Amino acid sequence: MWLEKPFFSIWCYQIPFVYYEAFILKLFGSELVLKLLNVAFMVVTNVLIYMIAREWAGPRAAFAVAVLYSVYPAPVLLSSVLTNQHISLMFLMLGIYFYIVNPSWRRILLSCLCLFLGNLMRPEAVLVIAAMLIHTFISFIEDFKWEYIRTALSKTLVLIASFIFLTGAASALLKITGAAPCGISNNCPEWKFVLGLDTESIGVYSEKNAYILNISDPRLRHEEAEKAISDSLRKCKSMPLFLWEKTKRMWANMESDTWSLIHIERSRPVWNEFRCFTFEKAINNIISFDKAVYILLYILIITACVILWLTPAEGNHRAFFFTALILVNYFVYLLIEIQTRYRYFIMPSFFILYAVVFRECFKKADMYFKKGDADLNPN
Amino acid sequence: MSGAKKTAGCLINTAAKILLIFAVLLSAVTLYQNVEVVLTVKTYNVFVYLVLLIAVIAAALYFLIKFDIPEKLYILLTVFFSLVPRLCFVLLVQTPISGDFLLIYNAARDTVAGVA
Repeated sequence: MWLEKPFFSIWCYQIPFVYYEAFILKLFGSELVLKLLNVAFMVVTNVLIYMIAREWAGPRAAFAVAVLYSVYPAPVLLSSVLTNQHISLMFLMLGIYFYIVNPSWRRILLSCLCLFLGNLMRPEAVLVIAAMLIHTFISFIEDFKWEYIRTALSKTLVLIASFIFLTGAASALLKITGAAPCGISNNCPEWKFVLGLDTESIGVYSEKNAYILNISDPRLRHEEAEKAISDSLRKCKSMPLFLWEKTKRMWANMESDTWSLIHIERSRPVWNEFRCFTFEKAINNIISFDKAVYILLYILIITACVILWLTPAEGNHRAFFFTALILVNYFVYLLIEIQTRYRYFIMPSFFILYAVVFRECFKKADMYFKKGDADLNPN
Repeated sequence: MSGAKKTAGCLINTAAKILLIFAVLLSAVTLYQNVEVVLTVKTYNVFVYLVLLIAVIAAALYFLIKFDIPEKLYILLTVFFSLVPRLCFVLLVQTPISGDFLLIYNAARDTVAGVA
């Protein structure tokens, strides 16, 4: 009886993903199909990156961004892992797409449905909703008239209200049918904060306070968690240093290959003809390439922000949605547990945002080449 | 009324600028941390890849400027470039299911077998 296991009675939000996997296994009976579906979700996410970026950066810049994301190794390394991140990210990106691109009432409801499905698989939609609230406020700059403000606000509020309703209804339905007797929420939300604010482990998973999970009374558990957090913060010699180290581990550590490549015998040669080229070397090269893309990403994000600063916000307000999403995500991971794997959710936003840089490159290049052509063919 | 409108517009613009300042600051800090990590673990080939990557992107951008590609082809090419590495990885690297993922997978199998 898997539903009775503590893992599923504490982390109830994992239950819908179990039913998704069960559904696929029932239909096809193979683990490989689950992995192939991961690939399909990732491809859709990649296409959505193109379609969203195209909206304000044009097709060429969007294509350049989408291709760069497709060869970025970090998501590829996760493709063979049966994590809920792939399906969730696809639905969340679809929700963002419907919200950002021509947000009619119909598309707002579709966005809500996609956010709900994404959240059902992995509860990260709250980050998207927080970014939507910030973006709604910024978008008033487009047309500062009561009519526009009322429509934009009511769309966002309807989206949030419908999302809360759908999530509540799904939880109640699964509870009533016995499919998820404890609902589908996180029954120990304080645990993520206990881990995230553990100044000894610098925010990564540790077993030190795991006894908190065994306390069945929620009030006592909450008190114990509070005590663990305040103890940890009191022992911390320097809070800025802790945050510096934590952000470094989350946003700067080399990508982890252990999720998908732990079974590889690293000393084995990749090809028998080239015995010196081992799997160890191959993996290290992939990780280095990943870091190169990652560093380039940050250089381009700084450039994108400078471009957004210099251009009027009216035409670029959609780009501010992704800036807000990145910032919200960054601040949330200051407080909760970190793993390099958790970057997966936010990376598409980085790629979409820096399409702004390529847009400017194409604009300048088009002007330059057209001038060149005019020089060659003055008539 | 117009004055109030102007003030509100100014306020939103300031909020947008604050957002950008935060984004630039955090990105600059993260960039510094990344370079620090690369130097600490002595994986200097990252910088070689970075230079190569910039060269390839520059060449790709030049190609996109010079040649007009139909817009429909962009989506097909995105699907192709996205699909190939992921499909190859899934088929060639047979990652065993482990940890929490195994717990979830076994629960799914139990559900199929009728043991919920």
